[in-house]
Amino acid sequence: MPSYKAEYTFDGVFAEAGLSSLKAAVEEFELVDWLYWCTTGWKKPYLSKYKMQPNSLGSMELEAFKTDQIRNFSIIAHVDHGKSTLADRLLELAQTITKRKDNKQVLDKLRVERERGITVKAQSASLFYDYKGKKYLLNLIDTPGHMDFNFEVSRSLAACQGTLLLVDAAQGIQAQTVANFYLAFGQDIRILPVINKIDLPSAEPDRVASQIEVAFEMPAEECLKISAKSSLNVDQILPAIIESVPPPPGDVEGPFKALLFDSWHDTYVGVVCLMAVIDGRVKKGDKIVSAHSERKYEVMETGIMYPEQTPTVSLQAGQVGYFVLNMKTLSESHVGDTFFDHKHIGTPMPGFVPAKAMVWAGIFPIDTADFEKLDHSIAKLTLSDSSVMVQKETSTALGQGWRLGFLGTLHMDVFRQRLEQEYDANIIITAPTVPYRVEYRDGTEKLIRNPTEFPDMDEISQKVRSVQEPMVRSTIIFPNEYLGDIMVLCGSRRGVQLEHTYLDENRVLLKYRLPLAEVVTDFHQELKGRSSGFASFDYEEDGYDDADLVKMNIVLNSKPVDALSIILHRSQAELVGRDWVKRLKGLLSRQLFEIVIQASVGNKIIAREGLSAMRKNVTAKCYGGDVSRKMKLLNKQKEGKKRMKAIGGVEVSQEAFYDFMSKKK
Amino acid sequence: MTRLRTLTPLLRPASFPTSAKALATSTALFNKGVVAPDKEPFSVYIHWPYCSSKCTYCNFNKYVDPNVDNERMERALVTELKSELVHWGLDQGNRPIRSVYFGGGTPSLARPRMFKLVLDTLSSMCALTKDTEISMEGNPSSTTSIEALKALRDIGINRYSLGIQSFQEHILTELGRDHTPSTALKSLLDARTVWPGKVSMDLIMGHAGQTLDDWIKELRFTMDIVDDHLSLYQLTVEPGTALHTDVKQGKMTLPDGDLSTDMYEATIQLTREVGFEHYEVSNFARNKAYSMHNSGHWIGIDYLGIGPGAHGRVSHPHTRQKFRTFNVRDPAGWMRECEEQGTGRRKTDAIELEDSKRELLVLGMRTRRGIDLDRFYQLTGQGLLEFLNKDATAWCIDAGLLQLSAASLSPTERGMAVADELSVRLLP
Ligand SMILES: Nc1nc2c(ncn2[C@@H]2O[C@H](COP(=O)(O)OP(=O)(O)OP(=O)(O)O)[C@@H](O)[C@H]2O)c(=O)[nH]1
Ligand SMILES: C[S@@+](CC[C@H](N)C(=O)[O-])C[C@H]1O[C@@H](n2cnc3c(N)ncnc32)[C@H](O)[C@@H]1O
Ligand code: SF4
Ligand SMILES: [Mg+2]
Repeated sequence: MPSYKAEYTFDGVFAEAGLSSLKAAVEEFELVDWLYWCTTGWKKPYLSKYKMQPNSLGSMELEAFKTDQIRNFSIIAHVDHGKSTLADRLLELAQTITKRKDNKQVLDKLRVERERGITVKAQSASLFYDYKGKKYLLNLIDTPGHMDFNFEVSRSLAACQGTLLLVDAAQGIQAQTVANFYLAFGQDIRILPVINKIDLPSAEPDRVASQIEVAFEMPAEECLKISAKSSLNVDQILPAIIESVPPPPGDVEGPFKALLFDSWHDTYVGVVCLMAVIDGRVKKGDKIVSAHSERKYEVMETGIMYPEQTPTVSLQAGQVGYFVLNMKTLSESHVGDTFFDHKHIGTPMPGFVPAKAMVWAGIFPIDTADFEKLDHSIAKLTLSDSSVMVQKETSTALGQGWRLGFLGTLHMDVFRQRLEQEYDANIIITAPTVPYRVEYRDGTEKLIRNPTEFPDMDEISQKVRSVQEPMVRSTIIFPNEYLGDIMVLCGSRRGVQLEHTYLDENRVLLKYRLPLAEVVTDFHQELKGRSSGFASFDYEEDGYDDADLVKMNIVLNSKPVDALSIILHRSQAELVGRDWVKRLKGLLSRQLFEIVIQASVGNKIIAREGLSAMRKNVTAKCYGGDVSRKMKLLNKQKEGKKRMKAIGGVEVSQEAFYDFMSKKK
Repeated sequence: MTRLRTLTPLLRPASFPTSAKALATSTALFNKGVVAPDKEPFSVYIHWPYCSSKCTYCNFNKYVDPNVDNERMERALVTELKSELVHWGLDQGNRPIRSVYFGGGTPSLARPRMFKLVLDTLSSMCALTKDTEISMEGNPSSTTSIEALKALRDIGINRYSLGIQSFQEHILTELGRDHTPSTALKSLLDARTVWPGKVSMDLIMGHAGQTLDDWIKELRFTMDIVDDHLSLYQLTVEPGTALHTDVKQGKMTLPDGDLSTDMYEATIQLTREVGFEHYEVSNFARNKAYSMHNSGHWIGIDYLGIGPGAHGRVSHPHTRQKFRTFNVRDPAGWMRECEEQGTGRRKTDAIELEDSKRELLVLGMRTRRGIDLDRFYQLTGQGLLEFLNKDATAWCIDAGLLQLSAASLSPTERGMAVADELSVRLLP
């Protein structure tokens, strides 16, 4: 039994909570409830306001939870199959959070996550659960479903011995179901198939179960069939986990060893590291050392996510919890790092292949005076999202800015939205570029993250052996009837078919090898469009291929606009050029002079549009009384001009740029 | 006179709400002799705030009041005029009057006595010369006899501006005008016999449903009967008008950018064919019959604003600091102020030097003459070309939007059409 020693007087606090004393509180609640009440009912201010003694209420004693009473699992699935909703139900079931009607994806804490209804960052939460007379400590990790955030899934899996593979009963297996299954499969952890949303009228749980059998070779009858929304059969989940997921391996008596698999920045305590303790035991004051940096740290605090940070007296083998180590910057916390007791340094865990930037884009302040402020904001935001790569960049058209590397275009969009919402930033973001590779005849190589770095015609003909583009292996799943259309689409994107499987009589799984550049922009949208929204899609990197690539420039009144240049396959330059030039024309407003918008490759103009000069812009009347009003307006207009970017002498508003880049118009 | 002097503390600089900075700069300029002792003519604007009905597009300070107390109004106008002339040191005899303008509202509804009282006051306190342009605005509905017009001429009015707006019945109805095309035509011909060569008329283009052809027909007809001055305005949707509500609610759509530009260009061409010069965005003159009053406004001449809601732009007699003045708008309130304080002036704002420069730019870009380089320097102590954004100026000259001569910087015809954009561009 865990012990919760309480040696304090909290009478004031109890009174506020409507209880006469601590004794009354203890009598009123069961132990587990009691813990829950402490964290949710009192919230943090109380816990810190009244100084805690060690072993007092503020620090939970988890020593009694030996590895056989611990299960660590994650929830993985395709986008929107209900991971976060199931996490809510499990937290309620274990009374980590109060059961309420309006618990909606409580682990999705970021504003973007709540607004978009998606999970971006994996989140952990601990649950206490009684099963067959025994108390269990369960650690759950909710993961994102979108492919951009695959890396979150892999590192979460490293801290688990089991996972719930959730499949929507109406949609069946989708591309990320497959991708995530293989991630889990590769890590050799117990996979529990769960069919969710069986409450939906269109649910076909049996059919989905047989798809699972075909695709993953897991017996159909092993699937749990639940509704995370209505809670139907959700009570079967935790027992199934306890029964079939193995307890974490590890030796409580051995020297301390832990795997760091996530970290974030907390305004109050600084860097917080989430670790899975492999062996041994650790408590406040212990000295531990990072295998990656060999730096030594003193443990300032340990605790579990319950679901907020809740201190514990110690953490030990098998447990998953957070550490405060007095790290100054997030860069010190290397995801995949192993920590040891400072006197017993052993062999580190294999670690993770670092997340790779799949797309790069330039970000610039609209008003060059905002550079410093934006620099600060980007630095801060990357503290909470270390998967963003940052380099400085200078553009002739847009001035000083940054070139940022993202995991995908959704990731890029989320980052932009967070910059705008959380930091009030006014920015322009360029079209994303995938990382190209140039191999020179002298054997050297160059990675190209920015079209301006692309070698010019002369350089290509004289010095370059090959230009290469990154390739992906993609999985596309959809109903049979769309097969023709989708094959045409993949063909037009220069794809090569690798595999063609029927998951059941009318579900097809295709594998294609495609250039990354062809899939990062609007491929997904196109797929959805051609399949009435039914196709799903996922990809993984698959090396580099030689390709006939060119750089297309956009030229405004004979001045090339570097921020608008892109690298394309030669066969597409003309089509894209015409489209861009036309859309630009639609977005620019008339100015005092004619604007000639051209797209060029090398010296060749491939598309051209003209926007004639503004003919008239003058108020009919300007009488005495209007003059002061007119002056105010004039000053405002002048300010407005400052917020426009003059590109090649042509003024482009932020909205126009934004609409252009986001292909809204 | 002595009584008035006690009503408003006059000619004491301390009584002017001058921003310290503005005062310092202009005093410095004055001390450096940038501005010569003031001999510059000034203008007077008199506002008559009543109309017989309300037009749907108009947001001027005007009131329909069947019981106008003419007597009281006239007295208040004279009171205010006297106070203000004294207050601004305009009764010292050094500054002649360039123009007097009776605007409205509908001044032709006022009694001839009103014009007489005002002009008598002016001639008794200042130098009203035979060159002083004395204009009034009139509506066709209130100038029914040629005798009435002659009486006005005999009082001293020497220029007449008639608001016709349109020669098309359905448009007049739509605009809420209280006259027909034929009364308008008759008024115009009457006025021309009374003030040959000195009559102006206002027309509005760009009505809902109006085509380019409609407008050209109307213009051609106008060319047959017009005197030597024309104001041709594009219909503007002003806030607070019935037109504004209709347009906002989608009940009415005005010609779009391209059509209204076509109308504007046709106007310039057709008037040019019969000898008119396009000397301001909406103003056309032949035989040099420019409006002295309006041109003065555009080149920074001082003007006194008298009457309800009138505004003025006047210089301090000692420091030469310019002020913008604003009068109480509602006639009753304004009259009360005049009776109790001697003036209905409610607000007097010092015009910062930079604002003066901007104003000269904005107004100058709307006129064929443009901005006189010497005059700009005299008024502001800075060369125009130094003030403006150099790249933009050079670029606009290159692009054929501006013309630079030894004496002035002026917009070309093309430049004038985009004057608002030009001003923003040229600002530093
Ligand atoms: N009808 C029904 N709807 C469900 C069920 N479970 C989840 N949903 C709904 O499905 C949508 C997606 O649920 P989430 O829990 O956000 O899905 P997710 O898998 O976490 O999504 P990502 O994190 O974006 O990958 C929400 O609108 C839920 O209300 C269920 O059992 N039945
Ligand atoms: C202040 S009005 C006074 C003239 C006189 N009351 C009349 O209406 O004939 C002067 C001129 O401004 C013009 N005007 C007033 N409001 C306008 C608007 N909204 N759009 C275009 N011109 C307007 C009309 O041509 C009008 O004749
Ligand atoms: S346009 Fe003239 S008549 Fe009509 S309301 Fe305005 S001021 Fe009065
Ligand atoms: Mg989620």
